[in-house]
Amino acid sequence: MWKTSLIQFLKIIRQNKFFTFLNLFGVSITIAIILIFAIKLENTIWPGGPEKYNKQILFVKNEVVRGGDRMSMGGVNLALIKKYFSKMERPQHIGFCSETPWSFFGENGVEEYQMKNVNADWWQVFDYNFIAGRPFNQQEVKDASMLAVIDHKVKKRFFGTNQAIGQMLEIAGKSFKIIGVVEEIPSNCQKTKANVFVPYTHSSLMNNDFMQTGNYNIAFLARDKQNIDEIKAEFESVRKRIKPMLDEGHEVFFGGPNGPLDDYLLGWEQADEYAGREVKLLYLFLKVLLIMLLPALNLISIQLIRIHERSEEIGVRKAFGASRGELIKQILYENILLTFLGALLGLLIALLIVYGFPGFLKRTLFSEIGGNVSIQINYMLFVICMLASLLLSMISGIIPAVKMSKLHPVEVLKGGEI
Amino acid sequence: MIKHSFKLIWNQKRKNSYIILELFFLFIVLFLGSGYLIEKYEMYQGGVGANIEDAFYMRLITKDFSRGDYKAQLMNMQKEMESFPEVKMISYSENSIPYIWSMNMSGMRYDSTNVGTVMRFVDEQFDDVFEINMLAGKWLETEWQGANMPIVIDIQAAEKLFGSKEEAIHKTVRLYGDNIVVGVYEKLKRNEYEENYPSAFLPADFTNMYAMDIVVKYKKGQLANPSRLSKIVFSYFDKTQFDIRYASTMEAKRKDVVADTHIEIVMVSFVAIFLVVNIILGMIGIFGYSVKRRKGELGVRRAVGSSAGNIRKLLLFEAWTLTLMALVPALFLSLQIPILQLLPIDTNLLLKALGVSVALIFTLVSLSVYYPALLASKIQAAEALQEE
Repeated sequence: MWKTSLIQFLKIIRQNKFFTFLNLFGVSITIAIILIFAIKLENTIWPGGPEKYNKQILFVKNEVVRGGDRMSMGGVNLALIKKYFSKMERPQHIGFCSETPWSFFGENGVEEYQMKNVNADWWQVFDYNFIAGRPFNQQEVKDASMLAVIDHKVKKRFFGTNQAIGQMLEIAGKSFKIIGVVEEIPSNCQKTKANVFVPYTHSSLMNNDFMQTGNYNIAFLARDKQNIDEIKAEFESVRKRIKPMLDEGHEVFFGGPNGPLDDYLLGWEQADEYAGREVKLLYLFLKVLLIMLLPALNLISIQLIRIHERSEEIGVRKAFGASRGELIKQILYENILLTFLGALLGLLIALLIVYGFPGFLKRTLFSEIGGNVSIQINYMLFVICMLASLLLSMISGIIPAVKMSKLHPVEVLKGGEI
Repeated sequence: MIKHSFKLIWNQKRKNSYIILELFFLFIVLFLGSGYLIEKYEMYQGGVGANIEDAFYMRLITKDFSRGDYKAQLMNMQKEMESFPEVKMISYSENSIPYIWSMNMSGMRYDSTNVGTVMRFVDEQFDDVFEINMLAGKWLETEWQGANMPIVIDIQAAEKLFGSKEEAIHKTVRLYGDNIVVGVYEKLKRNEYEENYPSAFLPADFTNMYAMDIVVKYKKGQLANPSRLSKIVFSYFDKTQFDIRYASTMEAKRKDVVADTHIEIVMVSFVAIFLVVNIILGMIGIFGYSVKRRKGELGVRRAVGSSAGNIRKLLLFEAWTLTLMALVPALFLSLQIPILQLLPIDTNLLLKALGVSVALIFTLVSLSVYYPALLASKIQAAEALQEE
């Protein structure tokens, strides 16, 4: 039975090339696109690299001071961090950093590098991969030592194949001694990406006016799941302690502390206007659903057409005594096989894009040139997509199949409407 | 012809309602996609309101945030830097240049009207360095006559407070104390893709400052090594008390800020194209199938004298009528957005998006009906009738 069905399936595919193509194309392209977009989303929220363990990390990315019709927004004020947040007890480690671009004027024009001013704990919160040397420690940060950790790109550019540790490098008008070289950080690791790291104490810009925002962000490393809630609670109590220090009628809000998913969903919205994870995820889900509605409608319509096309054949089969069950089974079998084929094709297309054109993909998704974002296909998602499309094709196949199998053979043979 | 099309469509209600549903969704996708892209494109075209070409940016800051009077040093430094042949102009300002994250907002009041305004503290050269587009009045002076500090407001604030830009000049508003309006400019945003908030310029106070954004405008294409600049800065400002925090071209700052939006635009266009291709293929399928089923009817038409061109036209008209039927509810729904003010979308933008999507949907439908119609016009009367 299965063998005959398979042979028949192959025949039908070849007989009606156009609809077969439409069906395969619809399913495969949809699945390929979902897989590619999942790569983007996953690599943005859980980027790996130094942020490999970011499920354990809580971020605070911005600060808003607001009251009456006055509003100041920016990064977190360093004085607040030093006086309050870095003294929090619950987190295992508390890292903070600010970012400054560094334009180097070489022989061939301007070269742009990113510089991060970090504290010593920053190296404990994140998991940087040192090729050589070491990070700077608490004492060195406290002393504002002229030390720098550079990434491999800067090392190659300024020192070539020579040893970089112990060498001096002039960065933005100041001379730093290099004590460590880290692997180049993938550009999707937005929290940790930089070419040069120096102790934040160099630009010890302390603005003691709490009405002003600053330009730092904070990362708390939590011990475990329970610890995450403790940190959030402690942070909130600290925030309440800061409030009385502001001018009358003013309130301070922070973009965090949030885990990676909430941090992504929050975007650049103001923290007190954040609708919450559930609402945001629902919106995201609805958007995806709306987008997927069209390919789904398409799949259904093509399946319907394919069955209608074969009404005469089904009539003949019925006339020769095929039972309803057999007919439905055969139609479903064909539908499922075709959809399955489409899904596999989709996976192949995605694999081809990921492994055939990784440079192109990284440029489009992460605006990275020749970097080392690790992109992988999420096979779990592939299975979910495949099941969803199988379900769709079953539904779209079963209704006309049942209807058709109910009809009297004479009607179908005459080409009657169903 | 339209009437005939309606009759034909009515005879095939069920199949056609499916096509109409699909066309309805196609329209929604086109509407959302084109709306998004037009908005971003117009924002990009509109610019930030400043020209950042050949500009280099440094932030000079006191290490302990203590405020002081640095006016004399700043003026002398400006003179020395501007004496370089490649340097065109220097401007000092505080948290005011585009492509930085910080922003200060405050309420600007006139009579009983209050407008939330972005405050920027700048010097006399800021408008020339960034080529701010002045619409009325003049730029502010740091040495002003009279009791009230001068202010230059943007056209949005002027229209909200006074009704027009001409009305605004010489009026006194309340923002940073009492300020007298001396000029009106077009706009200055933090980046291209940001909402355009009302904004205003006030003279920066060099006698009481802790941080200064120094922007060096070079002559066209002569952006040169800034290490010379930092040496000059530190010859006026003691290295132990002062720090240069950022030092980069304005262009580098811009790229950094807009990179994410550019990725988003690419992805949205990608999804939109994917959906449109999907729908077109689906429609080709449906139209192709309906042509097949109507072989007999089309054969009769040929037999009684319709030309191949007539058949093509008939199918095209049918498709257009279907599109029209899908457009009625779609347009009705999308026009509710400005009428009921469901979303804070610019009506102009909405109408443009509607126009573009209506034009696109007809083009796409015509394209997808072309192949089936071509097949149909090749049907020979004899062949079709024989089959019947």
